Amino acid sequence: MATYTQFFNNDTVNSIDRVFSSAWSGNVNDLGASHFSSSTQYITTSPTSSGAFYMEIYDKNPDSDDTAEVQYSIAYGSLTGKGGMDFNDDSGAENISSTKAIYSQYRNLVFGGDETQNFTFDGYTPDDIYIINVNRARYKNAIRLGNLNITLWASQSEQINIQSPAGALSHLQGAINLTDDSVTTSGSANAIRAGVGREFNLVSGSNGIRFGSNNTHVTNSGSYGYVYPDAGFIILNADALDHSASIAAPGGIQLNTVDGTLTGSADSASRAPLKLQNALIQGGSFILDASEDISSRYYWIRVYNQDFNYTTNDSFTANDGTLSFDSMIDNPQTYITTVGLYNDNQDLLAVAKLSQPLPKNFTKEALIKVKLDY
Amino acid sequence: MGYLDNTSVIVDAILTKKGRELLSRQDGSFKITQFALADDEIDYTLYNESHPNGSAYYGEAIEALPLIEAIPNENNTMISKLVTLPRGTTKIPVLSVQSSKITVGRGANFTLSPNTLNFDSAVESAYSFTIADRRLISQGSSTGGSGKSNAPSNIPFTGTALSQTFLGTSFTGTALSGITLFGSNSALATSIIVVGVDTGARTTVTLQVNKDNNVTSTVALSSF
Repeated sequence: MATYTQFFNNDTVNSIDRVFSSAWSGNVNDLGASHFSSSTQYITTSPTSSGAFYMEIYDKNPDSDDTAEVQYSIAYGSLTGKGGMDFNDDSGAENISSTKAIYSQYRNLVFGGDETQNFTFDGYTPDDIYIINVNRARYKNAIRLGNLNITLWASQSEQINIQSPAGALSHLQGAINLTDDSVTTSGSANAIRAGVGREFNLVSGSNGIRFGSNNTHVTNSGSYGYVYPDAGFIILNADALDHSASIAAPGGIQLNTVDGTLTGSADSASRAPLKLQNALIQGGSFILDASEDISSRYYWIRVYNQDFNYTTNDSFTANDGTLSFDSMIDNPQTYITTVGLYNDNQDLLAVAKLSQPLPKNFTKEALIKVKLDY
Repeated sequence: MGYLDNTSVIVDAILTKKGRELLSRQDGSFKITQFALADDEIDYTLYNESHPNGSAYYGEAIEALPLIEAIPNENNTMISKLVTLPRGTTKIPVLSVQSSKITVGRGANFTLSPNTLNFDSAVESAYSFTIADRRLISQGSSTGGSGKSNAPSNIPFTGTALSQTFLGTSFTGTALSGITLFGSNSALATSIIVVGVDTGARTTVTLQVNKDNNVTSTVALSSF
């Protein structure tokens, strides 16, 4: 007589499966033009406010919709501290601003605390970088490579500038489509950074395939940036984005990142993250997939013909335990609906339900595979 | 809670509350070593021995039943277990206790010693005693059960209701002594689920702890 059946070694097996899904809330594949910020979070008039460091981007308007969720953040970093407020103008603290802190933070992450290293894009070192930092809950374990697609479009004023005199506004004019170069490089990363893992180039193209034969499409401004799929962020070269979007000298989106005269001053005019947010809205497409490794353990429930043919179900018996059906004395019929997994102390640790009742009697055996995800 | 998709055979396993608690402890207590089967949701009165199409259709109404998803509370699932008994069995083992309700005051001891009826073996090797809300006892222990007994142990504090299981042939508990948990209530109650390890026979005893300390007599509930 037995109610609990011990597992043997060959009854269990471990497995790790990689699962991909759309990153944005609600399993949305393309965020489109839905890039909202919060008026209460993005405040740049105080050097210690969170808005001075980064701007959180929601899928819905957080000021009017309680269901809005943070999808990613935009930060702006400056090697020289431009475009942000100084923390303190006292001696020893000049030109240390939130934007300089951001640049140093990501430099520390990527280069492991080597302050002599700066972000260099195809040999070009800009003063400014943008960071798109995807919310951890969105990208899960890693950004899926070969699926990242970002479209950035020039500012409204620049779109007007690049219109041909008699022509209608074309989406191709001033727009750049960015992706990682994982397909082009057959998955080979630029480098494995100690703090953030793999590094891929952010290039002009789509679905991991670089357009053209090199990473740089902007004269004298370097490549567009880097993708760090394991850490969930993308670094963009501000100078490449600031480059002209004109037909004569294309490649950028004329983002107008920051006015150099604003160095060390209050940045009410710059608001650099806001400019990238607008470029994303105008671009109208931000596709990102999440990658997650799920560790599973499979349990094989072996139900032999002579086992589990009776039940303690109250409807199976009268109050004194007598079987309700005479035909079941020799040919009992039960139905499996639930599998319970226990430890040695009889604690019910996990439970599995079948999709429909499984008949069991002395002429039937069953093999049930239970998958438990961690 | 939704119905499971029965167009394909899918076994959906989830951790119970108890499983999550033991997993978070990281002390080796989360180790799945055995399984049991149950037929929760099945009403055997739907088994129709008068079905005009013959015996193959006796269980038609049961087999077509869509099942609900798994319930994560370990106290509300695996209620009626399937058991292995010799062919020709006419009676299913059932548990008996002296009363289905224990009423004690704060700090009082109580003992449960169940018995299994309709059981061919001399005694059940052990019973599992699961206190659905362990906050209502301050200490518990079990004896008997050929090495499966639990020495007296103080129940760890938790802010929410979690279960605690003891193995043995007899269980002794001490009701909580503090009054904080009572709030404005004059009494608190929980279930003690007793299951025969060999037979799967199950019964539920209600434990009521009165805030009023006058009811402090030790209650012994033994078998018939």
